[in-house]
Amino acid sequence: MSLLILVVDDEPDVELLFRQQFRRDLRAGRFAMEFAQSAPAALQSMSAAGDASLILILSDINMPGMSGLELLPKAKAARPDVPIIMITAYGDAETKRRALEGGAEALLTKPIDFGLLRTEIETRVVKAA
Amino acid sequence: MKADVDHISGGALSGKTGIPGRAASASGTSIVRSRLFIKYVALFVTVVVVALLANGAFEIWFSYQEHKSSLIKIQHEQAQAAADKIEEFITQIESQVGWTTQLPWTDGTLDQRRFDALRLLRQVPAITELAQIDATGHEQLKVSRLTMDVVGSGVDYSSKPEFTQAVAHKVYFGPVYFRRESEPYMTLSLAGTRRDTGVSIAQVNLKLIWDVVSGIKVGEHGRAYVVDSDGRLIAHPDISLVLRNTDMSRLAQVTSARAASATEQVQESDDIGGHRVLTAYAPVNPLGWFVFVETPIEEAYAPLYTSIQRTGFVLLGALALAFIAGMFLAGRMVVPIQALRAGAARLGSGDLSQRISIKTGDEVEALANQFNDMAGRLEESYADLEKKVDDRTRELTQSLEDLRTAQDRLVQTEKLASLGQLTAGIAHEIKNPLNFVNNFSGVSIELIDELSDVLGTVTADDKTRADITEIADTLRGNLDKIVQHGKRADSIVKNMLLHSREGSGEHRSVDINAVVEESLNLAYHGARAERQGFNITLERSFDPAAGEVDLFPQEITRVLLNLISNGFYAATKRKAQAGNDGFEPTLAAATKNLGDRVEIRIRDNGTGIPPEVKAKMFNPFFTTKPAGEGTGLGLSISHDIIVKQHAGSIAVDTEPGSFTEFKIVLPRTAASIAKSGGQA
Repeated sequence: MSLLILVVDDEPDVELLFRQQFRRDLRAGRFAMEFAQSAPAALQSMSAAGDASLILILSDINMPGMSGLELLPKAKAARPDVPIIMITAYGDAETKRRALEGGAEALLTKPIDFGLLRTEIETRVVKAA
Repeated sequence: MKADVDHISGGALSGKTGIPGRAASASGTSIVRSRLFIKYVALFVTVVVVALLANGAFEIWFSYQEHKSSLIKIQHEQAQAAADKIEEFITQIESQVGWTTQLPWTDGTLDQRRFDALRLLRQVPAITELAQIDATGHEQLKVSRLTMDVVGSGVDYSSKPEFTQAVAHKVYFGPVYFRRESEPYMTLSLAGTRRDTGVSIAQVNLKLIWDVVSGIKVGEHGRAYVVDSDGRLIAHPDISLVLRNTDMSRLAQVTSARAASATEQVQESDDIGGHRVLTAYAPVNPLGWFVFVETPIEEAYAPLYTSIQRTGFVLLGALALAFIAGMFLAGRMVVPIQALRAGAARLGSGDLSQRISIKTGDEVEALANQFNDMAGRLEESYADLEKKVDDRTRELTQSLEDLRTAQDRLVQTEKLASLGQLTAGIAHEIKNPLNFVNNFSGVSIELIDELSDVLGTVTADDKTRADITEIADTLRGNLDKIVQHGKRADSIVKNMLLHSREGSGEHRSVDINAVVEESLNLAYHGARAERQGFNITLERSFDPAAGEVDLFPQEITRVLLNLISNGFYAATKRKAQAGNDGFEPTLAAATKNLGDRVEIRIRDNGTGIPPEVKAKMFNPFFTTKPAGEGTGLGLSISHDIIVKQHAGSIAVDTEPGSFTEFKIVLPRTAASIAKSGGQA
């Protein structure tokens, strides 16, 4: 049973960046990463996850159409067991409060500190294994 | 009169009175003046004339009555005197003739009788002829001055009135007749006391009556005349009237006299010639005659007319005097009223500084004084009102100016606020590409390392290996530069976000020295970025024991940034003013531990703050900077942040042209104190 991390961001380059950053883990097959460029696409991916075990969702907030904060309750409703970490350029207290209230596990600000993110992912992977 | 009334001309307001207004009031005044003036004069003249006329009329009437009655009296007396004379004359003759009838015809001789008769003629010149009749009525003797004596003629008189009337009535007066067409005569017969004495008939010359009548002089044209009982004229100065045997009985006065109604004496009537006369009469008793004395009316009343004329002159004089006096008095009355009216008109036209000066000492003066009081009070309240209006206008102008300034500031602030939002938005959007730049370059460094590792396993000549290693090192160095500058850009973006209003953040315990240091750096770099060639000496003296304070870091940073920026501005300004004379702009930041409080000082050696600015510097929108360079909100917001949000204090010490020092004191638990009720 493979572990899956879903990354939601409207920027296509995010996939490239993540795949490079986590290339060793991905090559080692410790977990897989899936990328959605919008909130609806993310919801679709969640339902179509199949037998892969979704262990974490990383989501941007500022997206055209449905924003990350709007996606949050829907994702929670679909998969209440999956933790969601929000990644945003807006690290102000108000955004942080709304994200946490909406059910997010944590809020990371851009530019992304991959050291921190790696720790978070590692925790989930170990727990799931 | 003019000296009594003059007008004290006021200074301040007199200029405001329009000339047309004055002209109008002047013309209105003259109209009213003539009316009142004429009324007074007419009244006065009327009163005087009525009084004088009444007096004159009474006087004339009474003097007329008196004059008339006295004239009548005099005339009556004269008539009476004449009548008395005539009566005496007749009585005397009667008595003389009486002597010739004493003897009876039988007793005396004819000669004796003749002798007596002759003696009588000698003694009484008025008797011209005497005839003696015996008891039977026959003439026995006739003695005359004109003819020969006749004795025993025996002419029969027995049926003639001379005889019969005398016998019956003892005495008989015959009618007047004329001899030689000029002399009046009358027959007088007298009977003796005894039956046989017979009758004596005397022809009496009445010339004496004429003399009496002619002797009466009344005035110039007055005259007397005598009429007999039948109303025929007997004596009159104009003999022709008598000779014509004029009948006077138709004249009113004669009729009245003959009717003997003494009570209703006719005093004024026409004479025989038809002229109006004043008349009086007296009866001659035994004869039934009347003596009339008459004066022409014109002559009788001449003095009266003179008197009336005199009175008329007096009246005219009095009229003229009354007119003059009336003018004078009316003037005295009208002029003060006029002055009062003119004064009131001036007051009415708004010339409130005018005072009416009337010194008549009567009600008019009192009225003028009341007007003056009224004007005074009006002037006072007017001035008060004007002052109030001025004050209000000034206040309103000030308010308007303040509002305009505030509006300008608000517009400016709004612009800056939207600029801030824009900045925040841009900063966030820049963060996304920065994310890629930083992270891709980070990954790229890792990949270079991996590439080097891979290359280590590959067989190659030394030269190629050296080339590859050199290129990889250069690439790693470039990527390091990209990471470094990316982080720098990230830091700038962070500062931008910090400076914008986005997110006031939360309160937490922070190292106060670190906050001050960060603010100093931010302000310095900000100022350098803003102005090319900006330089200033920064002095730091941080108390190591300052420690941590619970506060809102972003807000305190805002305050410090504001104060430091102001310090930079002032010091730079002073340098610009001083020129190149070695002035070195300096800004000093200091912290100090005060136990449960912390003190922060920001001091610059700039231009200082003038006292009038110092008083207002914490007011919202107050600024000394040119438009566009400051919102005027800086110190006001700083004050609110320090005092209201953190329950601290902010004070300023300054000396114009020397230095400015802001001192902030914060409680250690500043934010929590403020949250738990310190938000005054």
